[in-house]
Amino acid sequence: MWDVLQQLAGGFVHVLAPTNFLALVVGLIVGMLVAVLPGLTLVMGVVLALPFTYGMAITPSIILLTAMYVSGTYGGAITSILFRIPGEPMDVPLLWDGYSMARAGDPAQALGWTLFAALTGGLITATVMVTLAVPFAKIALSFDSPEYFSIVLFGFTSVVALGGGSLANAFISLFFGMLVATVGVDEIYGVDRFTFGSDILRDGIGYLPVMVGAYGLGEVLVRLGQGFASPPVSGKGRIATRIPSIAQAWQLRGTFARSSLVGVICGIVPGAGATIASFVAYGVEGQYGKRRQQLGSGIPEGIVAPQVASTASVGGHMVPLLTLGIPGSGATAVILGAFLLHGVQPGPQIFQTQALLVYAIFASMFLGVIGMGLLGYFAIRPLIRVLYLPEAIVSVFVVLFCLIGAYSEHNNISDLWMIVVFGIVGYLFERWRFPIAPMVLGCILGPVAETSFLTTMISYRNDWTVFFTRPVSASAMALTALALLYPLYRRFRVRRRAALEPSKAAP
Amino acid sequence: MPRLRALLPYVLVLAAAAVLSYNALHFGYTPRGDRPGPDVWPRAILALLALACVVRILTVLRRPTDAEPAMLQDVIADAHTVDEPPPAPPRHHPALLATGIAMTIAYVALLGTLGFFLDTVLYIAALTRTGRYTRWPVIVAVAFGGALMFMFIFMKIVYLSLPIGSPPFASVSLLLMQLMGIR
Repeated sequence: MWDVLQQLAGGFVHVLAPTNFLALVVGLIVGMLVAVLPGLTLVMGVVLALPFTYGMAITPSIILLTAMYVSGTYGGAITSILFRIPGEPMDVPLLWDGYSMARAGDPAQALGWTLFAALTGGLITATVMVTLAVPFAKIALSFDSPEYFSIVLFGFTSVVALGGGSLANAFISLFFGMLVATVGVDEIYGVDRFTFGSDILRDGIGYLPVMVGAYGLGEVLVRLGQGFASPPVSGKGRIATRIPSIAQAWQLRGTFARSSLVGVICGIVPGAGATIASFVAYGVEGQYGKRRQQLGSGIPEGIVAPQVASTASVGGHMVPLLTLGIPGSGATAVILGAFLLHGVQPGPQIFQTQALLVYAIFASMFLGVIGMGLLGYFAIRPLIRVLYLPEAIVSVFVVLFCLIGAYSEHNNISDLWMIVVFGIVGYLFERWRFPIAPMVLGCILGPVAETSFLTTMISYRNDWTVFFTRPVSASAMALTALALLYPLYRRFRVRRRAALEPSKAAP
Repeated sequence: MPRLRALLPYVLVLAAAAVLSYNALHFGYTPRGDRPGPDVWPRAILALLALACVVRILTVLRRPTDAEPAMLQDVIADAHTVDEPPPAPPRHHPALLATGIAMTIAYVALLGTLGFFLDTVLYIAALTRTGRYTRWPVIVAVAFGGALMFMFIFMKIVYLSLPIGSPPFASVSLLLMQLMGIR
């Protein structure tokens, strides 16, 4: 533990170096702006920032993206509470109590609770991240290909199962992404797969064009198809934040504890990101909170629960990313991309080979959470002003950032065609209600799954039972089965509730 | 008709999976003992993809109007929402969408000819107008200012070699690069 604290102190010193500190500040501001703007999502913002990291050293690059991720979990709450416009899907639960409290005449108090919750969730998640990462990495050092395959498989199923909506659509999205990752020359046999004689396809389809196209251009096309008709911003009254007192916050200690736990667990489970954490924490508060009957009427518990959980999920997500090299969400997938672009493969060895970088990331999380709090408190009025930018202009710039970002990776116009293709695919996915996250994760983790599966088959002479006889892989397989059963249970619950409601309503 | 429309994406994906499966059967390679070949993984994915499509097609045929539960609907079912009506669902503008896609394709196609600056000016102006923004002075200022800003940031600061175009358009890019001190 002492060793961890010493390295963390070194990380703080490293983050305070001018370049790294500048990256932290810029990341916090841009992350919050992106989350405030309804046309942009947090993941899209992190994707758009990626090309700027090409020319940077790895430490400021990762600090920049991580800071955007942290502050992005708070920014969208402001517009949810003040204008009933959720900047991100994770901010939807804030509409119920946050907007209600603001509408009841106390927006400053609602914003204060949100900020305090984000700050608390952020500090808890940073502490958990530092505490869990090293033991996780030590365990991960003993992993072989069966463990990696089963963990990736669990990641796939949890992304599919926890996404909401149609399970079959999520699977189709996942398999589509995995299929895209197989295009190109096979590494073991040197055989062309699905290239159809095209030189562009022989090089394979990188996940960056897939991610940038689907999240960036695809989202803009969706909004263009709706005529850029974001709801107008109203209520230009005095905007301020009033932080609750320690005594007020102490009364909600149960809510803080429950929601932090939900956030961290949802973060560690691949696929269950900030949005799931936010909704689940609200649901848990509805079941176990002291004032659960009043939830939705504008009480602080309904603000604290989703906000603590969504910010607390960030550190949870960073643990599997750093220790296993497995991203659990769109934003961490982009951060993984930044690692790989700089020639660093996250995994258990990173704690030996790049310890300073890892502890600088940890330290930046602590400083980033505090910076987010300061920014949220003092800069809320200028932040809100970005809402008045015309959506058409913002969207054109988003598309250009996507295109230039893709071009800058290889200086190759064929990458731009990939962006256009996957932009259209992203639009069609949105239109036909296929979730995009499984496709992106399938594209990123597909090659990892294939390599670990084939290596296992070769090493264990095609004995597939090995996945069920080794303790870690067997546990991951059991979790995979649970993840697959969960949506069926959820659907059963929804149907049972629907069946009970008419009988309740009857006299 | 709504049922056919609902089935369309799954039928398309199923057809694509069938074509790709046929293609995967013909990967040319020399087997190495009992090692799995390069076709095993893609064929497994394609089989699962086809299975998911068939399941969905059967579901749509059985219950065409059965909506899937929304995001954690069971978890949030007890939440009391504010007593304001939800915003109306957005209207669709297929013509705007088609124009936007066509413009983006044209932008990429013309990048090598017009060069980054001219192509970007035209693209910003055209797409902003397509997005129903009508203040022309702002559009022109944003188009020129935006293209210059991108050029400066990416060529001067990030050292990215953006396309300069072919003659006679290249002369515009070269002149601007000279003015910005980009070599």
